[in-house]
Amino acid sequence: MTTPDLKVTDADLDTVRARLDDAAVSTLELACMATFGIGSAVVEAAYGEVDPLVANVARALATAAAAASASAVNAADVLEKSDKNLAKEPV
Amino acid sequence: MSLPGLNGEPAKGDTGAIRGLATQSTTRATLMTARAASCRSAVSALVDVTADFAIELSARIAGLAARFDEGAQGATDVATIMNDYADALDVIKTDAAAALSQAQTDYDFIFTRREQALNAASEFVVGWGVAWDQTLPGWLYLDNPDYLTRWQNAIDAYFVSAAAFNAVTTRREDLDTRIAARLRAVSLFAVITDNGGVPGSAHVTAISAWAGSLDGITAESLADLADPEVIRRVWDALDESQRTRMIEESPMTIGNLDGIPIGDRTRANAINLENEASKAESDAAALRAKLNNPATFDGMHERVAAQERKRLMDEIAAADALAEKYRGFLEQEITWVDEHGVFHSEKGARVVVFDPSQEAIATYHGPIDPVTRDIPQWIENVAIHVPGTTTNIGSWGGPDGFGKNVYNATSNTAVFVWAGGPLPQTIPDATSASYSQDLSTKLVAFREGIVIPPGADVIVMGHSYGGAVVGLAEQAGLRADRVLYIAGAGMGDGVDGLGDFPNTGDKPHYSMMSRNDIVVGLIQDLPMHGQSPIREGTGGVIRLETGFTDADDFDSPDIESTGQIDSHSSLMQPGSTSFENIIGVVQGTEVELFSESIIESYGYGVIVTDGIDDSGYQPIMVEVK
Repeated sequence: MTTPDLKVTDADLDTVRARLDDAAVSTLELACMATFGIGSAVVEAAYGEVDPLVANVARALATAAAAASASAVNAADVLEKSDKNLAKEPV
Repeated sequence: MSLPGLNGEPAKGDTGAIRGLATQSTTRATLMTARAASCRSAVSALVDVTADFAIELSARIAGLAARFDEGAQGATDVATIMNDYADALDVIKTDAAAALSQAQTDYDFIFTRREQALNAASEFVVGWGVAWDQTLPGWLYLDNPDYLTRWQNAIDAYFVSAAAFNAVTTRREDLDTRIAARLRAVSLFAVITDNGGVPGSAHVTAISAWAGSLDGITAESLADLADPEVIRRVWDALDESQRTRMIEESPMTIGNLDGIPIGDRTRANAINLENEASKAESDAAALRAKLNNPATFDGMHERVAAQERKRLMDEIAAADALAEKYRGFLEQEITWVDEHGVFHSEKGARVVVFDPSQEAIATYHGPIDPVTRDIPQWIENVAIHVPGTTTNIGSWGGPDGFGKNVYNATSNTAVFVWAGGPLPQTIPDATSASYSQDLSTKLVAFREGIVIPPGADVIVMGHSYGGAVVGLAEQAGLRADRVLYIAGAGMGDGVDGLGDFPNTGDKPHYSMMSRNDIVVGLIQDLPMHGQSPIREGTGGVIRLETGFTDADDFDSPDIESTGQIDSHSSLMQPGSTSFENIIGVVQGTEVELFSESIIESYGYGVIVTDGIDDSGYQPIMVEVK
């Protein structure tokens, strides 16, 4: 029977969480810029549909990354409370 | 100053601003690529963690990384398009400036030549009456026509330079159209919105689902997606507990939402039927209590009290009938055959549309795949039947029975009977095209919401008024492999023939009607519901024989013998020639062509004999294309 190596696992999960937090950063680049400089109603309309969608994609993915990070934190909490849920393969 | 004859502003717009938009997209792409890398680092960090949750979390993060990559690609595509746009616009701006300059020069030169042709006195006297693109009459220059020629040449030269400028405007318009199309064709946009099928108001929901954030999705936000394909995609991404919760919390939405698998619609509608039956029973109980309470009639004149009792009793009877009808659906025994030919029996009609407030109902006859909760992959034909006048939820047994008969008479076939909204309930109502107009787009959406097994054919049939619904649906873009009008009222208001059908105009079309049908037979030559499917001018609808009540016995009574009214529907009776033809169309096998009348002239007049009553009658069988 293998024994969980909690120290290694905690460190791994910290890294996972940190990387996911990096992915979850939501910055000003998500804002949409004004389109009046385009000078064409046709292109403005199309850009006005596509650009917010891309911005929302970035925003939704940041949210999904934050949710995944929370899951990693939860997993770490569970591990702290019990070492029975996790096992580290012997090296 | 604007010059005459110059159209548009081809140089409009700021290429610096457009490149700024491109730069913003590039920044988004870069950041999303970096975030994809972060996710991959997170996956790497999980490699050494050997636990069930780690496997699940790892898959989730890997999926997220892939989505970040797709998002980055979308942003890169937008940046590329906008940079291309700015580059092309720079060229157009240069060309527009040159064309405008040339036009200005040429325009100015008109007035140089004009001055030379008109001395100051003439300009004073007649110049006010001569427009910039006009000259004085030639007879005034008989002595020296060169002035006039040079003047006219200057005007002509301006027209040429104005045309050159306008050509630049056309190039700009073409460029704008191409760029707009390229933007909407960006893969990320096309995938998430199903090529624009999802309205802008539902983009956030579509994106959340695409990104894997499904927790906030409700039945209502799912319905807002309005695109059956996207709805299906999101629905499939939900886990079973989420789907069950949505079905239980919003059965009316899920049970009627195109794109939801038929098995799940059936589950939702079973709840709806139970709810509606309980409501009707509750209403009936309340009405009974009122009827049985003497205080209800206190102070009423005996005659008024009697009227009130009668009204309450009628309402109780109606509520009881409704409850019984709904419970009947829930208690109905259905049978179906699996791919090995084994019969199965279950309790509960497969109701795939049910909304009493909209008079909408549809049922399904056939197997359901337990995994996909949809039509099994081995099904070869999917038929959709639209019934006609007098159909409603209360009278559903008739149309549904026809669907069951078709199912029982076929193999490897699934059958829907559909009335997604009100049908006319009286013959006078049936003269109006409004019902068919309302139902036609719903039929298109219903068909689009069904996942057809690969390689299976879709057959759409309409009986009586339902034929007009089918025709208008075809005009609205219905997709089907074969179409059959059964005693069709017409091919739809305003329809001239198969040429009006964008997706089915080149598909096989069939029609049938008894020779003595007076229900719709009398309106075949009226414009009420468009082109008749049994008359000349359809553009290729093939009329089939209705024949005999027993298809195998030419001595049995013909369909016409059932009567001028009954023959309108008796042609759908199992065992008849007409029913066999319906099955032939559904299964794509063979059908019998209509036997034309034999007309013989005698000295005293003409004798017309129905083709099937002629002594030389032989069925003309043809393969269904």
